[in-house]
Amino acid sequence: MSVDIDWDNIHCDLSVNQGVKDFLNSRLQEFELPSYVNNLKVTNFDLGTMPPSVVLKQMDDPLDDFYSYLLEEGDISGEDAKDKNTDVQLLVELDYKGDMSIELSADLVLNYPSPQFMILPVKLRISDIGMHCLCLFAYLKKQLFISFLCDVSDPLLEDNKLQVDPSGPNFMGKRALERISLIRNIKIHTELGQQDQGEGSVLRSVGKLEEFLVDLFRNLIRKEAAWPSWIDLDFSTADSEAEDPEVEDPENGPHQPNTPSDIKEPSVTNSSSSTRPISTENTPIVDELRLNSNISLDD
Amino acid sequence: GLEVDDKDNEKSRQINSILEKTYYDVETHSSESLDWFNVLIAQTINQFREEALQKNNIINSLNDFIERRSNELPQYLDQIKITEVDIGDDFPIFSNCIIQYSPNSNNKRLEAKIDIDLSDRLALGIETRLLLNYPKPFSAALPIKLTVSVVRFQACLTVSLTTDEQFVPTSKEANEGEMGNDKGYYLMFSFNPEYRMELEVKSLIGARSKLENIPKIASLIEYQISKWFVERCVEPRFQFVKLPGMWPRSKNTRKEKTDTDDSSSV
Repeated sequence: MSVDIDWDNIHCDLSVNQGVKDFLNSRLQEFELPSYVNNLKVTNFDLGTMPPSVVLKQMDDPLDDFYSYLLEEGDISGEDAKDKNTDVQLLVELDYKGDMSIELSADLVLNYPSPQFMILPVKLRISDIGMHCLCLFAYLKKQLFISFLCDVSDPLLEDNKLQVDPSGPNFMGKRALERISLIRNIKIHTELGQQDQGEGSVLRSVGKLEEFLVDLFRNLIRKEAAWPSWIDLDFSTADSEAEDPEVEDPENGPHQPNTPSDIKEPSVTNSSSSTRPISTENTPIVDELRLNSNISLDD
Repeated sequence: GLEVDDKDNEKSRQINSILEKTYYDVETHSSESLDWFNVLIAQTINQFREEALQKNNIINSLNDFIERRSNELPQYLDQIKITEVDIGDDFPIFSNCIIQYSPNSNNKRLEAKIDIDLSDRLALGIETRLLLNYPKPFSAALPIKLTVSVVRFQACLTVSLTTDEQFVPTSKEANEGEMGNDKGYYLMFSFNPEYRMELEVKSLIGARSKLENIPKIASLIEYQISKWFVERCVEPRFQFVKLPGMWPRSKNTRKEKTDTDDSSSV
């Protein structure tokens, strides 16, 4: 481990767990649910007691892709893009075999013998998540880019020996399917009412739901955060954001008359262009950032 | 317009008269060595080093200083601890001094140009941690050990004495500070942009598994140091230092201690 992580400080913090829970819930809303499930919700998130191991492998100038993206977005000028003096990119090896858990609730819809024949509330628990992968953290122009590259034992790495080479196989564009899955193992456990256990059709549906959730979880990481996609945290206006206590005036609503309308919020965007599969959108990590900055103010 | 011209002409006339009466022709005068100056400067530096060593604890006093200023550190840096200070044991050598008209001054200002060469090891070693304050303060930390040393410095130095008001401060503080409208002489110096500064940066990063001497760290540090230097004393920026009054005064008068001195015997 290169990075000392104060896990005790983080994992038992209710606001952190709540923040992740809120984030996951907002992400879930964007997924279309199959006919056999309704009301899928994260009811609890627990970071667990074991920290990931983070080993620093390399430190470089950020990849050109990040500059191209910021240029395209109009966040920086061509002049800015040439000045890489204060920008930095870390390649880290992330090893996680912790006891993180996600609890979900859903309504299982039995479409047999007739559509919507029966609706059963179920509880699911995702745990035993295992990852051992290479991950990029690039900090440039007050934005932090996080992107998962590949599993450490991915055959594509053999020649490169855990090096980041922008022209190498990890960077050949959309080769997500050729890569070993970033999530090595994941366990899902379902609870349903005692009397339903004997019903074969119920169990079949449960099985389908479990499969759906595992796929959803893997896709979330692969499509949204694995190269050539990334998570982009914008801190360029985080300072002004932190000073804004976000008082909601009951008469005027959340928008204060003296709040400049063009303030850019720290936002999470997925890299997107015609070559990238994910659409650009502001996602609720914004809320997570904001939530935590408020908490630090209260402290 | 005419008055300004008169004033300008007066200045050139004064400068030419000075050059004439000091037997210095800027066109033909050969460059001189500054051996005498090197000796005196070396003595001064030596004195400074002795004092630093006498206190025996230059590291402690630097650490105290950093502790006092710790609230000014950026949030992503933990407390900085100084682990090494090397004040060197060599001296700068000044040479090849000539007097010339300042470029672009239309022959109205004189300056001395001096080559400076320093081969030494001036080093500072620090230990700190890079902090991740998200999602909570001190969530994660990356330990960093750094040693930065200057091993060679070569430059061409421009020095002049002036009361000149043609120069403007580059920061607001200087305007409000003692510099204001203070009359008197200033020593003004600056380095030619074609200077050479050789730095050695050693780095060790990480808690248990460590990365050693990462080139990117070296270039980050070198960039910050040269930025600091260029923004202060590389042309077209100049350092202005107010000179103290030199007029002989009784409170500045001393004489040598002797055994037969009446005032010291009781």
